[in-house]
Amino acid sequence: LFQADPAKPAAKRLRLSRNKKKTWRKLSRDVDNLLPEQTTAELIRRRSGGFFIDVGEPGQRRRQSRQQQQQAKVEGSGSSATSRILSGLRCHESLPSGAASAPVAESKRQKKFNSRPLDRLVKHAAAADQDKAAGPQTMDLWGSDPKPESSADTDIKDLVLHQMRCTRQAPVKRRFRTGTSSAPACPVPQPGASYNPSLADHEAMLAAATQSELVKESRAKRLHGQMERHFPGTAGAAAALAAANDKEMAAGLFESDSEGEGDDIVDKEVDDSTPSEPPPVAKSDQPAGRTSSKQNAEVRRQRAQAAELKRRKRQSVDLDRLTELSRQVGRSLAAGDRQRQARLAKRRERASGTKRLGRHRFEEPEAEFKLADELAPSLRQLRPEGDLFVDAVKSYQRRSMLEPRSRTAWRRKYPHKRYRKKGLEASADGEAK
Amino acid sequence: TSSAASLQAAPSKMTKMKKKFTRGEATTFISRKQALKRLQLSLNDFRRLCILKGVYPQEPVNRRRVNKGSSTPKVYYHLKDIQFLGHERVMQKLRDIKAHLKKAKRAKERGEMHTVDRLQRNFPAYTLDHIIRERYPAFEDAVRDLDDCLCLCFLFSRLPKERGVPVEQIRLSARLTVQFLHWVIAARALRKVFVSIKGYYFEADVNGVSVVWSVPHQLGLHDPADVDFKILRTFNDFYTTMLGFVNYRLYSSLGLAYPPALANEVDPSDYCQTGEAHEEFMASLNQPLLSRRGGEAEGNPAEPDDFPDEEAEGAEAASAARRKARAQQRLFNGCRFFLNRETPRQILCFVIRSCGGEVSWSPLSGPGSRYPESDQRVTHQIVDRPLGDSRLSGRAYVQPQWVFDCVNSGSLLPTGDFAPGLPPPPHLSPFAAYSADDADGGDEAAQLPYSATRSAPPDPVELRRPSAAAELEEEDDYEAEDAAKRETAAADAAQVGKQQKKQKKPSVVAEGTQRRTQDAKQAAAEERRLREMMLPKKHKQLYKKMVFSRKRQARESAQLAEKKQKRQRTA
Repeated sequence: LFQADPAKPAAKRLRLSRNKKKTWRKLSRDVDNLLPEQTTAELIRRRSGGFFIDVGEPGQRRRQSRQQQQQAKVEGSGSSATSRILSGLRCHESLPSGAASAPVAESKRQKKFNSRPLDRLVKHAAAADQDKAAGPQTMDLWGSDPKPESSADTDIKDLVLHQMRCTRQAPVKRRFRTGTSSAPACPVPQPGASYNPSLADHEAMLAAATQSELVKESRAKRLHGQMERHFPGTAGAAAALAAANDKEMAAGLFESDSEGEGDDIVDKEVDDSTPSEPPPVAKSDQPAGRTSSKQNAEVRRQRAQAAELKRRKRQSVDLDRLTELSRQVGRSLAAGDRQRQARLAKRRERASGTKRLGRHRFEEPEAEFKLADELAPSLRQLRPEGDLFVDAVKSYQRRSMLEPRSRTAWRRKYPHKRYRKKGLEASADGEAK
Repeated sequence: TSSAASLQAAPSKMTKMKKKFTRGEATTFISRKQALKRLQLSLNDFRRLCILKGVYPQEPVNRRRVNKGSSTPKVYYHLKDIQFLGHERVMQKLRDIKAHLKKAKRAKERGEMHTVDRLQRNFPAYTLDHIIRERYPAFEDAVRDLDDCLCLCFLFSRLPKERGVPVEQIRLSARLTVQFLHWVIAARALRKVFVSIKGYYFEADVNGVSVVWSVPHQLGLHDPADVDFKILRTFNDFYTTMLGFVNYRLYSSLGLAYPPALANEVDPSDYCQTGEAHEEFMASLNQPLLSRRGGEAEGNPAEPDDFPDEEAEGAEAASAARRKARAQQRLFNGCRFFLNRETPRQILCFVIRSCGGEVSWSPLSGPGSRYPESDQRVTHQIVDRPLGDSRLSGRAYVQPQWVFDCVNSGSLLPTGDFAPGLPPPPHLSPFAAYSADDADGGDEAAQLPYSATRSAPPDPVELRRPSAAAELEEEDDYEAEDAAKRETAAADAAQVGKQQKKQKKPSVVAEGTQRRTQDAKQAAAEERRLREMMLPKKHKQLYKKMVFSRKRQARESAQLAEKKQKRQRTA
């Protein structure tokens, strides 16, 4: 693959094994300067399919023309190390013009080779360049300094126009990861939460707080009622338990308890000799056996007849009720429309509202408030309520940036086991003996 | 037989069995555990990466489909998002950090302290500039996210050292927030201030976008149990980097040098060491900044252009907003303020300077004082405690709320209402939209200052509240000090109330129409009763409850209206 330059004398091919260090040392003396260039040159040639771009002498790197800069950009060699390496290549000069420099069709094997990542050397150099910049290379991240529209921008525009011309479609917009939630990032509290609120605002805030408390109370009450209904007596289980405990502990303390004891203990004798009768089975009106097919057919015919009569009757009635019917249809269409709107609104709300992520639901935090007697007469005497850190976390959760989490107590998965070492046991026994 | 033949005839037309969960939602979402396995990251590192890259968990429409039939609650991400995360440079850095920590731990356990020192010196660090560029390709995108950024940075700047957050991070947040405040002062961008029980809420106009942020009260921080500081620190890392870039852009738009430098020489000898002088004096918010070309930055920023030919709907509101903004920018021009020690100095300095005023304070309070209390040119002195007789002439003594209310209204309010010792008028929220009715003074009892209810003779209803007695006691204290002023203030308020009293229109209804309306009412009542009887049993209870609560509300509002009328009559 290495094409000899007719101008230069052919280098002697050294047939040495490359396994040992000694042989490498011999090689390196002769082909020291040539070898790295060759390998990278080979790689570049293979990857680019035989085409090269002359980026000039290594020393001329700084005086690159605008075109060369653009080409470098197009190539994608953004870092200086890669451009330094690539710009030092002069391999294309040693290629004779003609068939050798013509592009060679990529074989499957070549394609596979080309799709592998670049030489590790080049890759590491690029990474090192990027990492070397400890601070920002420039504070001007968005290019605030006014500069004329560079040719790079016009190139991009040309590409976009070309794409639009060919595909006859607008290019797909790049979608950035923006939050879809419409909730504000810093929710301002209600006017009643001012340190010196007006009467109406303060009362409105207290009313809202009272409402939320009432809702909580009603929920607790409903839960209590449901528990009572399904498991009577357990709703007040804690209180009942305490009462039972008190009763037990106080048993026998007072004399009046022991008097009526004997009468209460009466075992009701249960008669287990004869089994209880099962309840009588309700007789159904249907005959025991299967109805004959003739009967079924008759029933079916009658039913069909009745249905037909009904339909005809209804048709005639409907003709008279056409206007009423049209109004009904209009109403049902309107209802359907309203339902559709409601569904769309619900979908939009769902999209912009808080998403259900994970195990816990997002709970709106209770609004902080101050009662009338807690209001501060002056800013100096104000005692702040609430915590802005909690606010921040809740704001992230409301916009589905964080999922709601709850602290769990750390529990041991396996309990501690206590045992005594064998040696210690023996010695203890020995001592005891 | 025919069916068998047809089956034999077309075996190729039979489709393959569709396997469940191989397409659609099941393949577009990935659970968190799967993502961790895919990226080979620990949970903490994964969370950190997600926060930095802006990858958030998603909620699939149908959880069963995604979870292959089961409905256990899991946290799901878009598969494409996780694939996108996989290309991130910072991920490799996180792995390097993990390896580094492992080495350090091993060295420490072995007692190789020189290795530990070496590892600490070479701790791998990552930069987030490329992430910011990627998430906010244009400056406007960053400005839209500035709310979050400022809120968190202000919170972190107020953290005490013992919270477990590195001191450097706290100091960096403090520096950056102070820089931003300096920009707001220079650009006169402040538009709204709201002092709530939670903290201060500000709104500024940054490049046409309203940015709202909150600042906690000086003595406000509690110890929140359910706040994960690890996560907030990651957010803060990202936001501090972003704020640095945003500040640079904002400063360069005003022609100020960045990193900011003080225009004048400062003498830190009384306050701090020379190394901290820059930070301390910047934090005082009272020093002019150096412009890019050297020399002090110019005074007023460019005023917004007037485009009169806009669509009629929004034009009026927009022009009103612009006029108000311009008024706010020159609100305190020519005013000289002096802040007493008990006032929130930094906040007041920021607000006053953002509207063109000059501020100073006692040199004992902190660095940055520019003129003493005895300076003759001082026009307003901000005090927050009952004053004795030691008052200087030629200046108005006001409470801090005067400053905030002036900014919100866009004009200088009468200082008499805010005299020290006197309960000031209510501090209304500029973020809430009060209706036009309230502005005209229609609903007066509502907008009456809370203090005025105290100065009026107490109602028997109110007296039943135990707090009312305490209020009366407080009133006595104030009366002892400033009796005359309070009375005049109350009289003023009453007079204003009288002037704005709504004229009641006499209701003129003809007799015939009256009778007709009565019949119609009766018929309606009958109709209603019939419908009530037709209610099914299970709805009746609910209906009764609703009616009861509505009646109660109506009764309460009638009581309030009665109170209002009484007060109007006495006033």
